[in-house]
Amino acid sequence: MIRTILKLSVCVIITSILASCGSDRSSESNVLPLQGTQFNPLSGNLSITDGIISGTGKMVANLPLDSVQSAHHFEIAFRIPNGGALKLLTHATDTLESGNAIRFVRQRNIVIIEVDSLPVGQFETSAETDTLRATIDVHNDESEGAHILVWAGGASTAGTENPLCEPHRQNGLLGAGSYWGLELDQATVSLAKFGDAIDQD
Amino acid sequence: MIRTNAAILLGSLALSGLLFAENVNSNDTGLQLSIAADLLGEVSTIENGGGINRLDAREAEIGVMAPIDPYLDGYLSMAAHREDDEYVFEPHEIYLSSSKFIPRSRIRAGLFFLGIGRLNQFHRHDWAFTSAPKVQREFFGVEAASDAGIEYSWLTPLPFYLELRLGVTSGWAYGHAHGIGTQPNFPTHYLRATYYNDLFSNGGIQTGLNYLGRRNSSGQWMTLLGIDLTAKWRQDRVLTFLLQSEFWRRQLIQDGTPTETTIGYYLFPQYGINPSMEFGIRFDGYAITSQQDALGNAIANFDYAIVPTLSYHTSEFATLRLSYHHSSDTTSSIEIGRQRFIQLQAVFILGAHPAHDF
Repeated sequence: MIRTILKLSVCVIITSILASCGSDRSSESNVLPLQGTQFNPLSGNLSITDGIISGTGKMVANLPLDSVQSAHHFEIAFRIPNGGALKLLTHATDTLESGNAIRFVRQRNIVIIEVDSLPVGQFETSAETDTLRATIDVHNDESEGAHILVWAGGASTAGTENPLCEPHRQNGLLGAGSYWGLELDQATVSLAKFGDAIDQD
Repeated sequence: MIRTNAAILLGSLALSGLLFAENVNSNDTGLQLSIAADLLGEVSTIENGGGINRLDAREAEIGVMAPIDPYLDGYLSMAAHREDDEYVFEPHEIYLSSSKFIPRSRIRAGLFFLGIGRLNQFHRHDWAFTSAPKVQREFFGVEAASDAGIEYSWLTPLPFYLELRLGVTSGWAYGHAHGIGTQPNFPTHYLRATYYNDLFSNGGIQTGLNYLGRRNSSGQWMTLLGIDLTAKWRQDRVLTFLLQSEFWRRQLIQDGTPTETTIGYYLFPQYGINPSMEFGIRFDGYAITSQQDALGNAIANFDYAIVPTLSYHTSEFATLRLSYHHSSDTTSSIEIGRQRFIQLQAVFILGAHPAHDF
């Protein structure tokens, strides 16, 4: 009897160890909810207060995009101090690698938009305390490489105005996964969600 | 800009008519000219129902075909359609073809709709319904996957109909593209076996087995496997019943990322009410079978559409088509998208029109 209990105990311990070694993914208890979108922190130090996520770190949205080959819009509202940045990562792996990266970086009163570390556009002059809202279309289904369109403002008005920029990633590069998320560098984010692409062409 | 393009299009149409009218009439060169026009009106029946809520000239296409010499035939098709709110007039197909160089063989070279599947081999004004099912849109494009390359078809010398086809195309662009695309790591290539046999009561069925592969410049392999079925029953020359279906499976494979597997299909039974009128209902299904959330939990997802369609042929050159599009996209038991709209389509063809396979 004692031997049986010992054997069972060993089995349970080994199973627990193996299960814990199987994944370094976040548990559901660490989820950061942001207006209906659930994010799982991957690295850094992110906190949530009154529905606003702030800090420095990387987080992946729990619900993936439709497909690797898909086109979506992402609507985000954020604040970044001078020298801070926010990076939107789309069509990436579940650890946000090998995706499309659109980075917003503040240099005093200007917020520069970068794709693959190259400046492609900028926001109108804004103060550090302003909350910026942007709508970003990412078409990861085009043969010329991912097509990215960035509008100032929300998704409801994005289709009616010219985008701030609309680059293709160079050398035909496309994101390799179906997950998306954000990388914050001293930033605060109050909204981040996705939907069907605004630009249908 | 729209006016300029429209003027160019109308001018081209008029000029084509003037240039080719004599040849068409005299028929001394075998030159044949056809013009196909596709008008489409859509009205959403719910808010944000997916319809365009206007009447539009969806497409106008000019096709010219003729023997070039005793060995080669030529085909040119130019189409005008909307892109970025402007009409773009561009080549759809430009190819040379021959069935005289090698016995039992047909070769074509140039720019063409890839000879794979069922819908992909037809221009959409020749489809039995108005718009593409989701599986066609996602795997091939809103109309078809086309590319420049070469295709070889061989009719096997067997006691039944079996044709084998091999195609290789540049692969720079596939599906949605605004330009020439980028050089792929491995070009687009495809295989198709087509089998035909008779059915009871003057019926016949064509079955196609298909494979397509391509590796894009980002290193992602795409493989498509599919089967298409087309069964027709006729009385005299009138189509009394049509059953058309395609089932496809796509895999997107890239080092360092999980393989994405998607299946999609449509099934379209259509009944001929009389020689001028047909009624059919299309059932579409589409699901990503490998989808997981960021915590590794499987995500159930399924998109479906039901599209009843009534077609009326005033003659063999004109069709009026009324359909209702009802579709729903569901993820984790939550409906994340729905489309409800009515479509009214008018298609007419001027001049000759090339005969299609079965």
